[in-house]
Amino acid sequence: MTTSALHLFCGFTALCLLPLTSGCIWRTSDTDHFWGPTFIRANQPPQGKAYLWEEHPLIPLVLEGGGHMALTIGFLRHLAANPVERNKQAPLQWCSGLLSTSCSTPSASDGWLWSFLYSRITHHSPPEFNDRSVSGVSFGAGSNGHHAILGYSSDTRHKPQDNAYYIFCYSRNIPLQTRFEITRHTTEFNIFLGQEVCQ
Amino acid sequence: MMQLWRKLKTLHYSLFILVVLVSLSGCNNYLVFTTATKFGLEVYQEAGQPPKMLMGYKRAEIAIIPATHTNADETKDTYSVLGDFCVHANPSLRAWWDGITGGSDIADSLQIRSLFVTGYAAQKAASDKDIQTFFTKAVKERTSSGSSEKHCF
Repeated sequence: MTTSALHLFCGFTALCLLPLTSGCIWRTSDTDHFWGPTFIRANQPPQGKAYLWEEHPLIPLVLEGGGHMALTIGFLRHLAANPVERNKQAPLQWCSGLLSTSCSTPSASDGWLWSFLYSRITHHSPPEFNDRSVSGVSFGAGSNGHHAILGYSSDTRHKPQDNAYYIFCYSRNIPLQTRFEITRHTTEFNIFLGQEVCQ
Repeated sequence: MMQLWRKLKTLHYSLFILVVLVSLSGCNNYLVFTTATKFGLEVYQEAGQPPKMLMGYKRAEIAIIPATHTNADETKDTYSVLGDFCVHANPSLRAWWDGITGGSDIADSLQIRSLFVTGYAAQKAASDKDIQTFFTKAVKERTSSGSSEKHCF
């Protein structure tokens, strides 16, 4: 009886500690949900020239689901971005907390945001640009294909829309200063080209 | 002997499942621009392409442009793409460590600069004087600087 109780107690404790010993990310077309200790930062207009968010799960065991399914034993860094469009706003929203949720509009001045148990980023549309780095072992599958990695892998992927004009300047060193702008083709389509595209 | 046979059988089934999983990829019809740095062992399959295996080091910059079977008109043309790309990659151990720790004060591990126009907008952009000047200038700059250019911006 005592042994069974001990087993039950250990199982319950392990279940309670699971969110703290692994990271879990669920990606949908308009929201990314983060469980477990994760660093998150984001930037958007007016401070930034792109709607972007970046996450670093702290625990080297990450399970991803939703649009992209993957299991990573190692370190994962993921940055996603959507372009800024004139006369159209799609502000990012960061909400944290399981029981009492508080939401804010994150920007570069907030620096790294600490998510201990749960938080989510609402981004309104699927990200057009993704920069994903993995160190360790990772298996994944999604609409873009499948992968099994042992070592280091770093991929960027940009899926532009049809009939659109893009300006994109990205440096992994200073991602919050990314410039990602879109102008759609309309009858009043005017090309805006500054003196220097990425200054 | 029987044990070895069982192990081989398990391996055979595992490989079969892996091949089936890798082959079950959808064929998506969209434009993609991608860059990649790999170091180690990777088995992967891009949508609509055969599976590939990589061992060692690889860098790639790829643009996949879909071919649709509809004629272009005034509002839609997914065939036309006009772009100017610069990708500067400097993969290093320090960049790898930076990826883990989230540090940012290191030399650039990746820079991308692109001016990219798709569809009918590309047709219109190609006839724009400013765009033509931009491309002429970009070609001249690249020709004169050659491979000595270390940064995109």
